[in-house]
Amino acid sequence: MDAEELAGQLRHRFPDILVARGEVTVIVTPDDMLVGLRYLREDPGLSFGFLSDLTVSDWPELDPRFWVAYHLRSTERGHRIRVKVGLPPEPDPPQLPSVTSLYPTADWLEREAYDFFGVVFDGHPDLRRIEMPDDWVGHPLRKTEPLAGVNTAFTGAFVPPPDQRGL
Amino acid sequence: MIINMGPQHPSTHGVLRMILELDGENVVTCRPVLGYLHTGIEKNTEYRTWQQGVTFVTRADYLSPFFNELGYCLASSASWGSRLRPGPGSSA
Repeated sequence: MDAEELAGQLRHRFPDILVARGEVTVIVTPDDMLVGLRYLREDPGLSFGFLSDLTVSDWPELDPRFWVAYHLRSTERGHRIRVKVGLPPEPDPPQLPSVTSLYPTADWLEREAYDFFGVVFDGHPDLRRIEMPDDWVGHPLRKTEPLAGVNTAFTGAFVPPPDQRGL
Repeated sequence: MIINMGPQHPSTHGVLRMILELDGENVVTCRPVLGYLHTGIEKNTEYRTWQQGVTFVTRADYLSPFFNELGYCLASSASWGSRLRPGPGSSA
C-alpha cells in the first residue's frame, strides 16, 4: 500500500494527515493519542503491531513546544506511519499517557524520552533515566540545555561551551 | 546472589553493565545499565554543519558505522529535497 492509499484509508478517523516524501504522518491530540494508537494497532486492515521508534523534538519558542513522534511499522503488511502529538510548554514537565500497555518496546523508548526531554509518561512501569547518570540534573536534549560548560564528577575535565571553543 | 557484570567485563567491552540475580547457575533477573557509550552526539550535531555531522554518526556505534552514516545521509538529504542514489546492486 503506498502512502496516498494509506492516508486515504485513515482520513475518516484522523482528519489531520500529512503526506510528504512518501511518508504518512498523523497528528493527534494528547487525549486521543492512546485511543488512536490502539485503533492503528488493532484494525485488521492496518495492523501496526510494532513501535519501531519514539522520538521527541523541542521547539522552545513555539506552542506546542514538544512534539512526540511514534514511528509505527506493520510487519504483516509492510507499511509505516508516524503519529505525532504536540505538547504545550506548560505544564512543565509535560505529561502523556504511556503506551507500554500497547507496545512493549515503549518501555525503554519512553525512558529515553523522559531522560533526554523530561516528558513524563503516566502509567509507565519503571520511569527512570536510561542513558544519563541517575543523579544528572535536567534533560540534556532540550534546546534550552547547554552542549557543554557544565561541571562533571571528574576533576580537571571541564569542557567549555562551544562558543568559547572556536568551532 | 547478586552479581555485577560489567562495564569492565571483557564480554561487555566497557559499554554495558548488567546486575544479575542468580539462583545457583540460573539467572533469575537481569537489570541492564546502559548509556556508557552515549556521548551526546545529537546535541553535538546541533552545533555543527550537516557535513560535520557525518563524522559524528559513524562513531555512534563503532561496530556498524556505515549503517548510521547511510541513515544520516539519506535522512538529511531527504530533508532538503534531494535523493541519494544507492550504489549498483543495491535494492534500497
